[in-house]
Amino acid sequence: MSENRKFEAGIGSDFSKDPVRIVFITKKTSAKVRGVLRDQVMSYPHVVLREIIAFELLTIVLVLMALFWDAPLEQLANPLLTPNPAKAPWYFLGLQELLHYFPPIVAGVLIPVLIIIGLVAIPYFDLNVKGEPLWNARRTPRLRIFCGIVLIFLMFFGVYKAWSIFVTTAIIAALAVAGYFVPAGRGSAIEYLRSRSLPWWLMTWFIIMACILTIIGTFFRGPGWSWVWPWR
Amino acid sequence: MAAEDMGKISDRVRLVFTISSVIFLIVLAVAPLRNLFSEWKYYKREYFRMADGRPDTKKLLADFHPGIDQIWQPNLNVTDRCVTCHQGINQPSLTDATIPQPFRAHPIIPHRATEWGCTVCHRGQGFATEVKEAHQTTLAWEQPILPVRYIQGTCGVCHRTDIPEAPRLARGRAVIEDLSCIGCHKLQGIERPLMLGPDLTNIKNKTSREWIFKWLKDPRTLTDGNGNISVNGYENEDEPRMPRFRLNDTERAALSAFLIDRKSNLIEPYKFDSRVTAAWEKKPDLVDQGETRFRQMFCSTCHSLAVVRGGETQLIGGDIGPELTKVGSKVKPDWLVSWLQNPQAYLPQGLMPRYGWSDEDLYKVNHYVMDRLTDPDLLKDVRIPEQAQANDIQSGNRLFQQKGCGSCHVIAGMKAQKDFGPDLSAEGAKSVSELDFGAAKMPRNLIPYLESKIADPVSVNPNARMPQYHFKEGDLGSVVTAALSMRGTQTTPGIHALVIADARPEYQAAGDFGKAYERYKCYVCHRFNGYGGTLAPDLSYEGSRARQPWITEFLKNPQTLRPTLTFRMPQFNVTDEEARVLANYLALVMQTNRVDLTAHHPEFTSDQASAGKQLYEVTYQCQSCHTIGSAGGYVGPNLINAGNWLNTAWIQEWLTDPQALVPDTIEPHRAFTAEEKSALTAYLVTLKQSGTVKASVPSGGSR
Amino acid sequence: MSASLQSTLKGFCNNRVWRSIFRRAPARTNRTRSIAIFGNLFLHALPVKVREKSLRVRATYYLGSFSFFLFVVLTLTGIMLMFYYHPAAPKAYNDMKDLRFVVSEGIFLRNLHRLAAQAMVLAVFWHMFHVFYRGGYKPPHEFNWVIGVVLLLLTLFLSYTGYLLPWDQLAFWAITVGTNIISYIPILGKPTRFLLLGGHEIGENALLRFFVLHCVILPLAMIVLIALHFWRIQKDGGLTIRESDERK
Repeated sequence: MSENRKFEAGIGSDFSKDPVRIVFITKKTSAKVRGVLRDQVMSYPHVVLREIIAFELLTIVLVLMALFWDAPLEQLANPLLTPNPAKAPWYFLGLQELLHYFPPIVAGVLIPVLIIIGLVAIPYFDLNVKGEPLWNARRTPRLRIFCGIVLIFLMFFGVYKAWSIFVTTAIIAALAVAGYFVPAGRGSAIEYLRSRSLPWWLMTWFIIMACILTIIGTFFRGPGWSWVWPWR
Repeated sequence: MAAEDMGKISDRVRLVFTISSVIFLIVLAVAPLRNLFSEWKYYKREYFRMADGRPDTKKLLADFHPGIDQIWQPNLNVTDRCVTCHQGINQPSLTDATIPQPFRAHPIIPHRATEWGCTVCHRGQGFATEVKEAHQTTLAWEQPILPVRYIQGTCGVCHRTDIPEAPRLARGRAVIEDLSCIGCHKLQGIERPLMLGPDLTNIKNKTSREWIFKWLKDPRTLTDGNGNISVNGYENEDEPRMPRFRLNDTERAALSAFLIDRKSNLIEPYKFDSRVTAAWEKKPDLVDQGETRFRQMFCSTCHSLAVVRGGETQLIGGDIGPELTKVGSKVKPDWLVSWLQNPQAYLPQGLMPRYGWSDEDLYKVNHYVMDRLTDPDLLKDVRIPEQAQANDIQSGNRLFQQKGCGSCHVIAGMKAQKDFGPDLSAEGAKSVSELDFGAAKMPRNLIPYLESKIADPVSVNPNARMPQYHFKEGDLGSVVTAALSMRGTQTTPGIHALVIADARPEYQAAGDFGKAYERYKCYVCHRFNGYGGTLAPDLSYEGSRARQPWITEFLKNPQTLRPTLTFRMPQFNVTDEEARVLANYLALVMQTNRVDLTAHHPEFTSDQASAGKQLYEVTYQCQSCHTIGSAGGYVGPNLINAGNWLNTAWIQEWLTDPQALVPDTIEPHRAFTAEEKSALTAYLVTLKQSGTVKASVPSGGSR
Repeated sequence: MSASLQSTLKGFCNNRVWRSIFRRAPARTNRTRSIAIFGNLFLHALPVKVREKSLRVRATYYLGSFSFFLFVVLTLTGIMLMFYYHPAAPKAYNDMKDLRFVVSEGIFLRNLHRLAAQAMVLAVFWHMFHVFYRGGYKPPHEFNWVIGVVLLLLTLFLSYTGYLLPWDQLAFWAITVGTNIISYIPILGKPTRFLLLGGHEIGENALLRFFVLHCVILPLAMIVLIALHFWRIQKDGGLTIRESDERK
């Protein structure tokens, strides 16, 4: 609590701006509770009850599913009998799909490491602390940088013929750029997109990408990692 | 908000809490009930109900307990819970077919289920206590229950030698061996022989391009429904060793062009003695004489000819060698002469013995074959130029390799093709995921796969290289049975230890005997210490049985001992020296310890001999089977020369226990007394045909 | 009737046994409600009071709670499964068969464990994305976000190590594909893979290592980090309430 923060100590702290502090301990006085009632409720029983409900609902769903949906078991492991295709657990299939497009060092090492570093680093960049819309200030230089980077990425994906990634990236980038050209105060959907910040766009791109790659890897890949239609 | 209201819960939350709690408790209470509905519990109850309604309830329910039953044999890797539902398998009173499955008793078999489990023979998933999992192909188990018709397939996993209880398996193995499947596939328990198909390097010398063309179309001799035989070439109506490949006329033209174009050492035409040629050339009965000689030499022991008898055409003769009805239209005269003279020069691994021909016989028989055994219409429908075109030769060369011809046929200068087809030595253990069904519409299962693939390879894989075979009734099933028995090396130590290996004896003869043995291919018909053919008597103990001078004489002039046989030992024209070497070897080496030729026998008296004659003719009526002179039966061998033929010690031992010497002999095993044996022996050694053996032979074992 | 019920309850909650366990009657005042939270070993990680707005379903979808509850379910079913499991090949596979065909409720137990594992991966991912979109990672919650990322990785690794244990074809080849990716890491890749598998190929050693990781090391790490994660929520000032929510 020694760092330079601009909020003040005391009863007058603005809840909407600063984190809630319940107890302040100063050197000279003993601890004093300065609770602010506002819209607070007691954890017991409010939180406890709701958590119990959540637990019960979860258990009900799990038990019902477990009654009617048996966990799969295949033949005994046999190192001599390679299934075609051999698939990783579903949450790694996006990664496996990437391996199909990019060299192993990129898809297997670089991208996962970058994702983890990126996730860890999110709160340490001030970029989105305020959630400022992407096109609010310095519009033209931002547009140039944004489009430049997107084009470099698209070229990269094109070189490796990663068309599923290419198309998804292009669509999301196009939606982001659309906010630049659309004047403020139009329909609610466009207004929503216009007001999104850069980190929002990045995370959305990442999630959609991950979902699409996982779905492709799970359902659309057959022998030799070739494209198959699941309904055929 | 009042301070104490901070703890008030709204009615909505209360309601949600109540409902969710009730459902939660119900679900937790109901979930364990799933166990009650398991299939095996149903069958347990049903069995109890069935047993309850029968008079022998007490016996049926003696071992009943409500839990899971299993047969556990860890060394066999058996944990078979089949008996949980199949509760009556050991109840003799439940054998009746009206007893509903799964409660019926198991038929009596040599292996007890309690010692072996069920899945060792039946396959299926022994762990399972659910009907589908136990019997069918599922995600977790790809070795479903074997249909009963293929059950002998699992006998063969351990019993690598044929057993009488598994005739289908034995038949399947024999067919697989006959059809030379080993040419392209690795198979369990079958060794690749030295020769599968003939060497084709010099086929240009032997036959014409037209004949090759025709042969490729249908390599066998057929009998149609009306009994008409369309004789094409080599094999008889059994499935030919050379399969019918899917070839069109262009491909046949190309292959025949390629084969006929091979550079070969043209054979020099044999120069007959000019006196023989001069003497026989003009004789009107040359061909008839040739036919007589052909018959006298008993070529028909190995070769068959189509003969019309009473309006019906039949193939008469043996099937060791090719059928010869139209061979004159196939082979070239010069080749035939050189082949007859020395078949081993053309095909070292062939089965044809090398006869000792006189020029005269050779000339006569050659003319007979080239004149009589012909069909001028045989190659009429073949229209290809005799001269091969360069592009045909090239594509023929390609085809020869594409079709895997090199797997069975050697051509000098071309690489032999090994393991052309997939390895099948563990085919019976294959998982469904290892099989390529292609787009074929069939159950995803090993057995339909094998059935379709073997019946018609194209039905599974349109680009299959495997030729199509036409099996006789039931043979397809036998082949599938044998294929299912090939399960590779057993990884379960307990089962591996049980495998009864198929020891195939090899009999290698060396030295001068070896040369003659190879020249006359004795092993094609005779058996030597377990190795060789079964057409003629087993010679493993010939030295104990026959006297050496008799063997020598017999080899020079084989006369059958059993006059009713159609297949007889051919006249090889063995030289004196060869006959001496062969007889020497047989007499000294091919012996059994049961017959002691050096043991001293007292001289037989004439009283003993006449007593023996009495026993032979009156007491035991031996003449009902054996002939002496012209009187007697034809079942056993002629004994007119027994005194010169058989060793005294052999006769004695034979009268004691014939089956100990020749296991499958039909000679009755009688309990003769010692006096009777001596008397019979004394009588038999007196039976000597004069003039057959020149050297006088001392009686008894005093050699 | 309701009055008599209440008095019965009151009597029930006032006897010696109840008091020996809880030391107090059911909470009726804010003071006793506070004590109910911070006087309880299991609940004291919760704040005594919370903002009403953070209770709304849309604020959290209870995703963090679900993730935690799934972990609890997994721990309980996992411990029960351990009674039937031997980390040895091919015994492990036969144990799966026994669970299905012989053990009462064995397949149910395994279904629950597997379902909960899949659900937990989903819940943790969803939790992370939800926190991101609500800006829950902003100061002073930065470090708790990092802990969350580590918890996500732990969840994935827990699920992945558990994947091998049935020792069937699915398990074997999924793990083969996964561990092959590790070997693409320059220099460190091959040694890491060797360390993880206890050999160059997936075999009994790998099964044992995955078993120990899955049942001991990773759950312990998970428990410690979950505790830290909860504790930090409270210490960092409770759940984030967005400005947009504040206005409503």
